[in-house]
Amino acid sequence: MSTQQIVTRYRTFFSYVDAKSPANKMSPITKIFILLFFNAYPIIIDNPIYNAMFGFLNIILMKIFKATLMHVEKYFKVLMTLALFIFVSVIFFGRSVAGPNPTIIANIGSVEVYSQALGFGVMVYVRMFALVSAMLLWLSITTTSDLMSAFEKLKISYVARTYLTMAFRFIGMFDSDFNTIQDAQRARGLDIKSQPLWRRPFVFGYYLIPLVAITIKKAIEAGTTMESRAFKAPLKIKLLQEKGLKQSYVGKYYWRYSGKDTAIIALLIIAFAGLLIARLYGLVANPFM
Amino acid sequence: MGQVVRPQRTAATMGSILAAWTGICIVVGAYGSLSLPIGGYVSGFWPAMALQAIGGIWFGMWGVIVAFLFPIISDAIGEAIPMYVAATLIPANFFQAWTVAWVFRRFKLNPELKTRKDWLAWILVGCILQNIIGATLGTTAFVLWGLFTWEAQPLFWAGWFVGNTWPAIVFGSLILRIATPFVKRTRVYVFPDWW
Repeated sequence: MSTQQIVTRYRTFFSYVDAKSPANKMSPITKIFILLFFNAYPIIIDNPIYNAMFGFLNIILMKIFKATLMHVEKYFKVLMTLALFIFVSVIFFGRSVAGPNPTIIANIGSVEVYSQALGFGVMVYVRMFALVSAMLLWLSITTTSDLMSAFEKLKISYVARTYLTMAFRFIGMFDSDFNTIQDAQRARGLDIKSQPLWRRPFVFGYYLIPLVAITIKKAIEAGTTMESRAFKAPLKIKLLQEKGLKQSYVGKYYWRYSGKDTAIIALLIIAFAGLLIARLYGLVANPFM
Repeated sequence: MGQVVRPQRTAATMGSILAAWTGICIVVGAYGSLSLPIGGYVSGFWPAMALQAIGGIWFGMWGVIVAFLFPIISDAIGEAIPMYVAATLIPANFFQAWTVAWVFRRFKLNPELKTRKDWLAWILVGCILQNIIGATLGTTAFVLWGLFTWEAQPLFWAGWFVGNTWPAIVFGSLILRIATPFVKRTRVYVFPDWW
């Protein structure tokens, strides 16, 4: 008989992380700082080389944090369509980003292709690569509980946090309902996947209308359940937490913070200030334009 | 006799519809975008637009909040659109829900689309005008991010406008006609109020 080893993993927004991952030791508030800084870095930097390095660093970090990359890889396909999007734009409509004295490097029919416009396209594309990989990293290492406990520490109100948590819960629920509707329609002889691409949007209504009915029914049921469990709040949502409220279960059991978190947050703040200064002195400009 | 008395709206039911409508918009937005992608972040078919507009009419400001909130989550999860980029689409998404919600309330129109006036307002404002505003604000945000140039904007504007308008006309009209009589009997139906 062979023994099978069971590996505990946590479900994040995008994938799974190993229970022993360093990401699980990191404080939820540190993850919020990572989200803010890692999304700001590629915007401050114009140099595509630095942004490309940052993008690859994010992928390496995903490996270090033991995120299951098989679930993440499909999102990099977005970058392929994005490349098409940006380069068609700068090749065929690049005059406005080519500067006052553009250099023509090729002619496609009557279209002039400018080197400065291509440089601009490279800068934007690599920036998007860095931004998307940063977002993927964050979504791969963050769980709903992390986000909720961080929001609690940031004094976001219980009501706002509850609605947000429910929204995330409903995504999975409706995703499964959508699949159930698909199966039901398939049993009646309608399979959207077997339809040609141009016809798919036309048959979408057969899925949309039942889904709308299910949504409203489930929302009313959820609201009634909440009321029966004594959930009470004013109709106008208060975003910030009132003083003197007890710590929630999520806030108590999912919250963690150590000296390492202080060091990471301090490092991120210093790096952010450093980048702003570097930008001010033109050290992170695009050399290809 | 004959008067319909609806139970009072509570934070629990309205919060639930806020969360549930966000959930459905995300699922529909993601599946819709994948079925006919044009390129990058513009889809030739975005049925979530129909739900954005209907949400504003049925659920008032709760629906409008969903309209600008859900794309931030769905864009991040569905297409990994960075947070700051998604945040700049808030004005576009706000007007894609608020405009028709305001017109239906201001001119006391019927969301069941019973008269010619209701139909005109829905098609001209809910499906066309809203998307003109949304496509203009949205594609301008993308130009300012450098995702395409000013000269290319009309091309992508047309992609956004067409991709949003025709699902709104087809599915939005269908849902309003079929589902409004059912939804108006529930306590989550806010029309003609805002909250």
